[in-house]
Amino acid sequence: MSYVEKWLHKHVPEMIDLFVTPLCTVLVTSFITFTIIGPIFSVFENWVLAGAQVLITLGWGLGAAVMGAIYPFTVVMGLHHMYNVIEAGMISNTGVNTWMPIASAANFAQFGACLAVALKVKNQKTKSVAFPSSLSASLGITEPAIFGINFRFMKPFICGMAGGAVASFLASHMHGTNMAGERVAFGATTYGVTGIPGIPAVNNIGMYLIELLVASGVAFALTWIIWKEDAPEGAKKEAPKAEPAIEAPKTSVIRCAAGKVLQPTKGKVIAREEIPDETFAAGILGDGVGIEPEEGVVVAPFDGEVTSVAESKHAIGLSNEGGMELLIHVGVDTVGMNGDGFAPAVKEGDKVKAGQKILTFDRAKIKAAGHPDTVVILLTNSDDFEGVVCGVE
Amino acid sequence: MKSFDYVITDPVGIHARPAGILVKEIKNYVGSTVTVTKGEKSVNALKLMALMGMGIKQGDTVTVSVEGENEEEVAAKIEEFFKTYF
Repeated sequence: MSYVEKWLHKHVPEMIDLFVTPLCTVLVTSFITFTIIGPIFSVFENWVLAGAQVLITLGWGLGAAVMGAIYPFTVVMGLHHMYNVIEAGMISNTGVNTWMPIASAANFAQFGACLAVALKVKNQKTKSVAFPSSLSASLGITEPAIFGINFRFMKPFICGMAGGAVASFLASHMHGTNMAGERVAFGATTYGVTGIPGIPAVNNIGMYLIELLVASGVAFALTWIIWKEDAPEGAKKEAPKAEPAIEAPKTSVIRCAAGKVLQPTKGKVIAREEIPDETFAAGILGDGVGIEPEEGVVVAPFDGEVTSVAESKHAIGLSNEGGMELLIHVGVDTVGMNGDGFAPAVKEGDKVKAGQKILTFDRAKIKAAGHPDTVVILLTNSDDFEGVVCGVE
Repeated sequence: MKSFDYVITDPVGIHARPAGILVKEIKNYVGSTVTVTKGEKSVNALKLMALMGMGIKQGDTVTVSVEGENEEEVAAKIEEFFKTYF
């Protein structure tokens, strides 16, 4: 059709192109279709039809079984609509659509498999998909069941194929009665429906019900036995390395608009002015507090980053997202100890979480060196912030 | 820009307490930017934590640069300061 149209576009004067081209295109191509293409292809069609009919009756129903098994694959590929042509052909030919039982077997088997998943699975989300999908599959619409559950988990799909095969085999040996009362092959009098809505369409309801039962029963049983649910995601992942839970300190010692500084060391909090060092007490390095430590452990007072670790290991600088720059200085004049008795647990650039251990110090050594072991906590840029309040809360 | 070199004589170098004093001093010179360089590393002298992080010890040579208003004057004052405290 496109060739005709293109040719016409080229040769027809523009003025009349608009109405002439489409008209002629359709006329020409339909003429060709009816007189040439149609007759040729209908010969092919008849071959396909004959072939399909033979296939179904082949090998005492084995051909039917094969069709019943691969049917769901054609559904996945969306090709299953082409059967309508075969089915229509059958009806006009012999009056009996023997394809339908195969399709019904295949579809109802997918229903059976999906139902098994729905009942067996523990994962609620999957369950909530599987139940309605199996329902629609029983009514002949199998895409949700196939794409949503069976094909996804693969084993149910294969069990469905098995169920479809078995039931198709069975159906090919069944018989029904046609309108004239004659005994004919088991099938339907129309096409387009499978599963439960197909009941009024078949020429032997009793047989049909048996077929459906077999299809779904086999698929269900096989799925139930073979298919196992994957372990829930949580259990699959290896348990994270057991880390002692980082607990953030409960009290804060400095608070301002940019955040809180939690108490980094256990002990008595003293006012900045009481720190036994002139420089610190005077607030030259910023506002803050001192702590008379109970134990030699300093933890991060907020989530942030280590900006510096003194070479003499007795002081750590930290900053947080709010821009607070905090100095934690352990002891007074302890720089002179040259690191003996101090063990930082972090290095410059490390990210820390509130409560995470950042330094351990030996109180006895500090005392022995003749220094107060007061832990000094100062917000060095306290001038940059509003509402800086120091003290325990 | 005006700069001078200085060898630290104070046994504890530039660490928390003296660094804090330095910062306080520099804050007074509002129009100037003071940079302290040790070897490859340079920091704005106002950044206390960065200054401390450099670990400037006795015997280290640092270069102090001043840029801005009255740089001559400020540089001279800072040099005095260094001589006194460091």
